[in-house]
Amino acid sequence: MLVKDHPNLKRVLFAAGAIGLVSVPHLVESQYVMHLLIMGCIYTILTQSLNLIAGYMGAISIGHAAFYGIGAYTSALLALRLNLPFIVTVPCAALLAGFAGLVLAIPSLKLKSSYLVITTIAFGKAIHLIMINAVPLTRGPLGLLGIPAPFMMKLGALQIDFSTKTQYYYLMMAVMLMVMFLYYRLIHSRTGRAIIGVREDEIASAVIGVDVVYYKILSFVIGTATAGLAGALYAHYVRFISPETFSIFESITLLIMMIVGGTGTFIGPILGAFGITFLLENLRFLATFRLMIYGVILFLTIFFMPRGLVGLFDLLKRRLFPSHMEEKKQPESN
Amino acid sequence: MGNVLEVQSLKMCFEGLTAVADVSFKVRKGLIFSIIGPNGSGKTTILNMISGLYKPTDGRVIFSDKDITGMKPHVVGKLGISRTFQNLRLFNELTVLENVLIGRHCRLGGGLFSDVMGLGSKRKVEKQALKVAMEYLDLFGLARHKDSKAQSLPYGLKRELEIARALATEPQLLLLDEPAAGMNAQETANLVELIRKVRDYGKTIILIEHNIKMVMGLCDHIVVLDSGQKISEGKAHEVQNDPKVIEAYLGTRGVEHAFN
Amino acid sequence: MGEFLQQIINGLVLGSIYALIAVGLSQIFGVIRIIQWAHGEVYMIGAYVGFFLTVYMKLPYLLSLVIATLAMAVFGVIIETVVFRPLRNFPSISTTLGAIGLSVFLLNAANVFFTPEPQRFPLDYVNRIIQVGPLMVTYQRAVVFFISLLLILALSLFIKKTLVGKSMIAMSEDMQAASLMGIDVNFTAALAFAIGSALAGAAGVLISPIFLLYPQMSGIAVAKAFPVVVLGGLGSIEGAILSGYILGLTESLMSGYVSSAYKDLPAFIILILVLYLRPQGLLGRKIVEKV
Repeated sequence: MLVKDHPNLKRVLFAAGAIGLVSVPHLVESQYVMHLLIMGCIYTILTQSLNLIAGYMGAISIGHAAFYGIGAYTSALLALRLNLPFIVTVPCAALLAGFAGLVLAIPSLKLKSSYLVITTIAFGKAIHLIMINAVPLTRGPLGLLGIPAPFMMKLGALQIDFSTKTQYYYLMMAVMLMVMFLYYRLIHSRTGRAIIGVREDEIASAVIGVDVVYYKILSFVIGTATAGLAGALYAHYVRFISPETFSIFESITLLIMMIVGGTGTFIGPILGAFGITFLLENLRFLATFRLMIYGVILFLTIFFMPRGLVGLFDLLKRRLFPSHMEEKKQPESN
Repeated sequence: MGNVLEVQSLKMCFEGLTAVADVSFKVRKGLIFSIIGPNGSGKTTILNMISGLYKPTDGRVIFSDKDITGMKPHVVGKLGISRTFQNLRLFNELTVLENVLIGRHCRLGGGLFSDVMGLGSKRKVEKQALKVAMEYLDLFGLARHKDSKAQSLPYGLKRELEIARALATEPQLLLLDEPAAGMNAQETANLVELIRKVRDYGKTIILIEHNIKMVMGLCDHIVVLDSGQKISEGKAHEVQNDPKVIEAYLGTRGVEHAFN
Repeated sequence: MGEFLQQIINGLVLGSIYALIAVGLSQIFGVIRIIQWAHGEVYMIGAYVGFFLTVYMKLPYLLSLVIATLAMAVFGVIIETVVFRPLRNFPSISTTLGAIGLSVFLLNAANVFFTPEPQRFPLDYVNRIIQVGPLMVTYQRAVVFFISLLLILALSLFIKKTLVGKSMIAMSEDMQAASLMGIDVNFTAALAFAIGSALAGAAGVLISPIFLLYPQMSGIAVAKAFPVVVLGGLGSIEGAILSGYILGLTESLMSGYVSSAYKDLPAFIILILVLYLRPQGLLGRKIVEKV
């Protein structure tokens, strides 16, 4: 009994899901859990953007947090120094992050993967250093304080300024769903197929008419711009940012989220982002050991769950519901 | 002019090694044309120069009266030349259908914006693309495998899939690099039928093959290479009896029955 | 003139350390095509082992050096067996990420067990000065230079003259062919890790009396070792040695004559330049992909 064969069931599930999402803030009492949900949304956007680059296009990037940071700082600085409204600073943040991605991509994407990894790490470190050292602009390690909350909306007597967690939750949910929707469209289209073809075999893609360089750069820039968007949303949520948040460690966290969820799958990033966010919180009691566990999680996932949670669910599904049709045969340990 | 492809004095050097030296030939439209020669004679290198993967050190490639020398592979692909590879380059993790669908890439319009916006016309184009891809699969008898991973197909079908994908780009000229490698007699016979069918659809084919019997039976015109140079050219029986060809393959003590 | 020579000496010392670290990294890549992202942590742990042996166990410094080097060789084999060997047949992205996971684990383990605070490695004769003509060299710096040279020389002889060494070269050319010829891939891989880690550990023990010891030093090692390896050519031992000294001298001259604030810049610039202009480095082989 496949869900997709029953359109009415689909509609009911959809409606139930929507109602569920909307009512969450009213069911959840802990501000702390609300915080985790909001961060989960931000990380979902970030992880999906990395997934586009590393999962769908196949370029391992260990400097993705740099673009997250560029977006955060851009939006924060435009708001603080130029008093520009949220509606302007956020797109600017995304654009600048996308542009930075373009600048990095053009010379780098032709490098073989080992060298590309080195380049992305170097870029990440360089941006991190700039954040720390460009004190007149970024206030260095002290960070930027007092970033304004998004904006004010007046709906009749109601004044919404997204300064509460409940309101920000709705904002993040809306943005996250929008981004996921657009990404879904992108991946399941001619452009998406071309990007995947580039990952699978550049030379074969080239000879069948796919402009490999164009699609590599395109996917990279879309990914980095999206990361910048997430950064801007983060900045206006926590309202204080510092270089610490945007280190290589964060880039590794994003990779872990992507892998644990399922590299190159669509819902993997959601699972990975929320999963790791909640897992890390629950591991807080381990205090300093927490970070060691990180490394172990990465290794264990790569070794035992190379296809992530999505792969795991796929496996379970096939074991429990063997289909009548010819099965999709999966090669071993790939 | 009737020549789909013309190759003029092609030369390819790699850091001191001359892989191809001054090779010229013309390919007439609608022919099954073959390039044969011992290993390392430069056959694949010539295909790579035609399809844009290598930039020739010297010489020109003219396709339908257009100079395409040194053009990027995806441009050449869009202009109407498609190919398969000696060592198979399928999109292994993707399904059979997805492989052929990507083949349709350069014949589908649109770009990033229309893809993401998902405009109504886009949906129609997608449906059409799917339909055409399925037609190609039907042609090759691959339809029932459409959702299987390319990786999982038996070897002979993998080769056919690669040809199907190449055809999906609607080429005028199809380059096949040792498509019969590793095939048994039955698979080879199927392949020969397939190639003839493709020619009957109006395509011109350049075939690189080591299976001499297959080449002699199938091809209208043959070019023989040895050590990067053209040593013979002509119809099957002309080339078969050319002493230079026999020497290149077998050494000076010719053993004719290899060609019978 | 004296100033210039002084900087040269500093550069040679620095270069020796870079060379030691880079040679290990380059060789591991050369033999098993893995970038050992946790190599910096091996260097750092080696330094701590040497520190522990000398300061807490009160062993003579040179003895500690030898023991630490051997210990890191063993450690390298352990890493290879536990982390890298299981991933050998996985796609290369898995190996990269596994190495990074190992690096994160080791760095944070060091933070937990060794504390993040920098420590001094007190050694009596570190700053004793030897005078050679107009030149003044501290004792430890001389030790670093000569022992590094010794180790590098030993390695070169090993690789070129022994059968085992040559089998490593064979593996770096073609792993499949090498195994078909009867070369034990597992053994050779473990050996490459043993040698590389030993050199890195030795480097750690050698340098830590001069500077401070702290877990983050692993990151610095990596930040310098990678440009060296890339400049020399991934997989080329000669390249790593040459480039190590080039970087060491460049940094030393830069910090002496320009400004010490920018001493990390040459490494970064070299990395960028090489990657974009000549990815195969000075002595690496250009890899032409066969179509």
